[in-house]
Amino acid sequence: MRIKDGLKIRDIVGERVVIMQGKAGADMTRLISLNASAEWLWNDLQGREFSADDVAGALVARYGIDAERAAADAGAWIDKLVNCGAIEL
Amino acid sequence: MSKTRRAMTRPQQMLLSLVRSGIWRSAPEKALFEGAGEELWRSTASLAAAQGVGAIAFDGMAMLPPDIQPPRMVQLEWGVRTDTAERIYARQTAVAEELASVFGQEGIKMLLLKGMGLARLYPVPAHRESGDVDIYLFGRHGRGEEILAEMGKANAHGVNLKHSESTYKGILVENHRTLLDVATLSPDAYLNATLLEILDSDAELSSAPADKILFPCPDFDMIFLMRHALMHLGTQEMVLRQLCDIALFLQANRGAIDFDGYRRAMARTRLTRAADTVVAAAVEYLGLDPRDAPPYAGQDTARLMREILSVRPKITGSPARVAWLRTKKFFSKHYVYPLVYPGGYAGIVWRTVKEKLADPRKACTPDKR
Repeated sequence: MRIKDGLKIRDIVGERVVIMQGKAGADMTRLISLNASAEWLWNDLQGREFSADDVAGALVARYGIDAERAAADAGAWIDKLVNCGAIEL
Repeated sequence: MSKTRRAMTRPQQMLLSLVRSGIWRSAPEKALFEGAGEELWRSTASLAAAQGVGAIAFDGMAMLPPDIQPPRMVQLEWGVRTDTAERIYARQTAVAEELASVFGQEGIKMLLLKGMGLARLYPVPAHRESGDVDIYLFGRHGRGEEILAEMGKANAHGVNLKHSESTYKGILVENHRTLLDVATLSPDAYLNATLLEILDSDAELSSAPADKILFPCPDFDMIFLMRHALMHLGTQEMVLRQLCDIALFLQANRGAIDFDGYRRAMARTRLTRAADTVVAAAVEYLGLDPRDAPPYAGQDTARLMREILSVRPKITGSPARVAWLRTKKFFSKHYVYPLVYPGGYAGIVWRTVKEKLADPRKACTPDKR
């Protein structure tokens, strides 16, 4: 999987936000608000292919959390971004 | 605060402050924004969009202290529109680069008018909004159209005497047969010839490789941008973005413009008063350093700004409504016509018709190179 090209994190209202533009007249625009760890993962993984294990591994390396929690957090991060259309499988 | 500023509405004042901040990267005047509620902010954002400066004003807004920034929803919606502007700019840039490359393979040079060339002068180029890609192929308009057709252009919107319009990859492309509207207004014939002379004498353009996007030199743009803005003022609508273009262009080209040549061209076409008013407005309302401006006489800038910032209803609806709105628009331009048509609008039309009757070829001859 990979993060879709052309998406950019913006600073709006003090929040770190990614704007997912909808197709004109057919879809809704979505705003993805990223917390610090979600933003870090985004920046670390953008522009390359990665797996769920890569995401979990990155969280373990960065935050020193245990593997089980990292896998759960990675799954949640991926699910949300896939649902928003920000990650291509 | 001047009398002029007091006559402006609060959204107009807020917008001008945000735009100045956006183009010069300076802090907005905080006092103007204190106590501004959601409705006022929405009016300001809406005015910014109508004036073609939504993304630039967004940059200015982001420089305000958080406690006087607009409510969250207003910011998010404004951010989405800014994101859209950036995406359109990226697509326009890609199309322009592709066209230059394809035309270059045929040995056709492509000059990009307005758009990206001006966007480069803005702190964030992608925030200079543009509706189309304007290209000039140095007299090869017809071949350009054939190539565009081979490339799969879609939706040819029409051909007028100045340019052809078509859509390529979702981007509107205006392929200019002539630089200005020589067939409709007689002053443009003189200015068009002057612009062609400037292009001819530009050694940098002559030696440039054919597969790269070419941009006009400052002497060209000084006349072209002013004429373009005045044309909009007279026949369509001049918006704040065009005033920003002129301000940023003058600031970026300090000492590099032949102001004498420009003023001669304006005088020859009796546009000096109109052009001076635009320059004076850029100084007074956008904060252009007067040392960067061509010499200008003091003019009624407040009237010009009212004209630029006025809210205009869209001319749509039943035939009766369209006729009514057009009539209203015509009479609301009573200030503009003497300014941009100093010999009288009817006089310009008459002289133009007379010239075309005398030599019909003038009405449809593409620029020859």
